[in-house]
Amino acid sequence: MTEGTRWQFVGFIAVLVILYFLLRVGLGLGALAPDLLVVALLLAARRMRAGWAAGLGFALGLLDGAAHPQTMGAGAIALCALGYLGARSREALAGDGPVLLALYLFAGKWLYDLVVYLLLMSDHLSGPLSMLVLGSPLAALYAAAAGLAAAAAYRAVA
Amino acid sequence: MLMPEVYKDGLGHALRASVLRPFTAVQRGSADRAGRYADAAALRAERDSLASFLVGQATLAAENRELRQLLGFRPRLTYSFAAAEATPLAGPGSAGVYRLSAGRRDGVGEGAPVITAEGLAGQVGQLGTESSTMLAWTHPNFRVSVMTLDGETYGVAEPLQGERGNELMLGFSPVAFHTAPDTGTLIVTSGDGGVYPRGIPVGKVAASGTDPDGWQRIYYVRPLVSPAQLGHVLVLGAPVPAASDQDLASAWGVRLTAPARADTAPALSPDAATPAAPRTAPRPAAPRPRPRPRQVDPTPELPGRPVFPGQPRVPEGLPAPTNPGGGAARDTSRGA
Repeated sequence: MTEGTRWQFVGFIAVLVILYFLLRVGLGLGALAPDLLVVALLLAARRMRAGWAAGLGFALGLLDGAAHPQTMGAGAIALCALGYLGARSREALAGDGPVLLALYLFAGKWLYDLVVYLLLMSDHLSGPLSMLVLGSPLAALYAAAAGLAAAAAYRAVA
Repeated sequence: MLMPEVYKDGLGHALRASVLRPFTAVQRGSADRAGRYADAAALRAERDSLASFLVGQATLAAENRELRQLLGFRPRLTYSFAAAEATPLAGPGSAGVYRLSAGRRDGVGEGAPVITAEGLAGQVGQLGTESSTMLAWTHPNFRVSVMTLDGETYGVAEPLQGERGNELMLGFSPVAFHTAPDTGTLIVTSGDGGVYPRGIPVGKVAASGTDPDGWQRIYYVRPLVSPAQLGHVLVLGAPVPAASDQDLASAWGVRLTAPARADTAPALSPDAATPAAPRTAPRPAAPRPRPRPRQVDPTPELPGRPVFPGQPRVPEGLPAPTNPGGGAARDTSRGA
């Protein structure tokens, strides 16, 4: 994701975030819409420094928490950690190929779900374990596919 | 989490009212549109049923008002409500949480009960100006005080998962061993705690068991409201004085046989000759045959004579129209 100017990339991330809230909050599609917020953060983290990525994750987490009050706090912490790890992952995962990107997005989304699940366990709000074992991989797969498509569209435009 | 509730609510409300405002506006608009494209035939049938029900109840309401005046009863309370669309939230920790398209602006209050045509659906969680969240009965934090129609068994119902296969049900406990509601017994809200009004149907007893300590029974209640069918809901508002029943059971065609709590006790005038006898406490459960819950037919008999297709409808007191063919039409309002 090194294509395009800085502002083009910022616009791309903003579009993903707006799309996420439009689909999930505005149109109420729920799980039918991919988790573009996590995708946006993971893609942004690949071009940001770790501290800034963590800050972006925290801000996005607060926004998401306002829309989904039951995960407020837990979502912010999880996205903050995810942004940091996403930025640091460049050291281990060099390259920008589609397979690597898909794996990165899949692992990131699943990790996010896992962290939120663990954080919500203390309040007994995490739900059944089957959600994490069966539902989360599917959601991660969906997010990875959507992220790949979005990245391809960005590359075509930028 | 890691943040006091008051700050969390304040921050969430501020973000929803500023950055997320366009999205909540779109959500409200899309919910309105979805309601506009609802099945018109089903809505018409519902409206007709309600109209016939109201016509049948009109005389009863008037009689009830007069009798209550004669007995010196104060007017009972009824509840206002706000209609809303419920859409499920997605993501981890969102199980049993729905977004309602009505908020404080529509008269929705914090913690207000949410009902559907079948019965109790949940409770308002976080309240916003234009929208709010609802904790459905499937939410882990949901609790409701319930009872049987005869009032012999009281308890608290809470969601259980995994104890009855994969079916999500409510657990009705603690229930003493000497009371035993049959399978299929209707469970309604008891009104204890003041969160839910009395008489809202919650579910039916599906099975029974004992708690881990073995001292109490636990009843598995299959709720009447399916989470998959949650779409249009009603949010109950504050009670307002009116000449109707405070027990909401009658709205579902159910009659409570449990003694009412002291909410509409007759007002004693200072010059009353004989003071009213103190209300007797409900009898403790005893091994006597329990009265079966009575179901009231929700489609009462309509007043007046039936009119058959093809027959002209002639109002009372008017002459019968003459047949252009020469013969006189039958006056159906006066009989054959």
